[in-house]
Amino acid sequence: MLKDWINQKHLKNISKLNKQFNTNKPFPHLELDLFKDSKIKQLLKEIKKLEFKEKDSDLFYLLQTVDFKSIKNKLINEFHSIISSKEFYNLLENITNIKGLGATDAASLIFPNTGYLLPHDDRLATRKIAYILNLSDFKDKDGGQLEFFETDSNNNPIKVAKSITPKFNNFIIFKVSEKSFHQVSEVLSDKKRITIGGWFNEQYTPKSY
Amino acid sequence: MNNTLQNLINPDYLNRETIKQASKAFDSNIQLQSFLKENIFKSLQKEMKLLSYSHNYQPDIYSYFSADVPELFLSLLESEEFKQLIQEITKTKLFNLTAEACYFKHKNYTILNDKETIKNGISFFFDLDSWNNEFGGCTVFTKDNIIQQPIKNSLTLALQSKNQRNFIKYVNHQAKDNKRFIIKGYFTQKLNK
Repeated sequence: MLKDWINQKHLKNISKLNKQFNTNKPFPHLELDLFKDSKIKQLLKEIKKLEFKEKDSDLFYLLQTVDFKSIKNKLINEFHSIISSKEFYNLLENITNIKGLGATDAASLIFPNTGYLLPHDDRLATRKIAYILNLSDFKDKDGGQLEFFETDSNNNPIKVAKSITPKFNNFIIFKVSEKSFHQVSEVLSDKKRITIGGWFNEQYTPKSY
Repeated sequence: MNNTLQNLINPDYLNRETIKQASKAFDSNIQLQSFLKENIFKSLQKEMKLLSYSHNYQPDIYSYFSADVPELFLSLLESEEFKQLIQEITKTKLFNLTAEACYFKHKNYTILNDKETIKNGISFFFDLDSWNNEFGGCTVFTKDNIIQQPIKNSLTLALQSKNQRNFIKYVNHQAKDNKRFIIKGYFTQKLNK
């Protein structure tokens, strides 16, 4: 099943991807067209049928679905099971050197005109790798860039060091750490910035007594 | 009441009955409109736009511009009579003052900071201009998620505690070149021993 979704060219290139991930600045990350365009186009059609709820706080203004594991939709469930599969975790572990992945959070987000997500580091309990799959094509003037911050010696974010404009089927992963400060800049046009995003978490191991 | 207050603020707020009503209305916040005398307000409004502001930027906590509070308003904030008025309205014994003149424009914000220890007291926001909340940039009080509409020449008072914090929403691109000018700060609460 993994083969149905993944562009095979990347599977032959793991060591190169591993090097890129670990040397990219300002913190380990990678962007690539990991998934097949045709599959993601179908997926987007199904995503557009979902219910999105408005979320508004000090940190963001956006719309979001519930987690994919609570959604009954054949293709969305298939995608979720792919990115939660042992083979996929193995692939990610080989690309990142981050071991022990075992659970995937996934939801779809829409940033409408004036939508934004202010700087934060994503650190929370079990999160190891954050990911974003872009489902929209933006121009620079549309805003909505995913931006990574450079940090000082105390791990405080200082300034934007890398800015990624949404491009359809661009898959971005980054290591969650005390340095992983990022934001989504405000959407400045009526284009909707649609993504699937979430985290690859460490494997849950029940406490033994 | 002393000359300072009489010279600066709307005489309505020196009226015992008004103070009593404001105190009765104060639950966790209150907005006192037309707070300064009109001539005082206009000169303060002009002065605020001429201050020398610097950018306060800690990306994960805040981005806005601040300057020292103009002398005239600072003398009001520091006066014992003003403190007494705030104490009466908020029914809170107050102690130290922290204040700054600032403005928020497109891309500015404050974020609730989990690492910050919140000092109990009364926070205040004195607005120099009315503002369209569609621009973002409004003050939000966290207890009941109250979004305060900024109105020119109004003094907003709010309880400040671990459960009643405040932040200023990100100012979006619809604000264009508009700036929200505020004098903001807080009085810490005096604890009864």
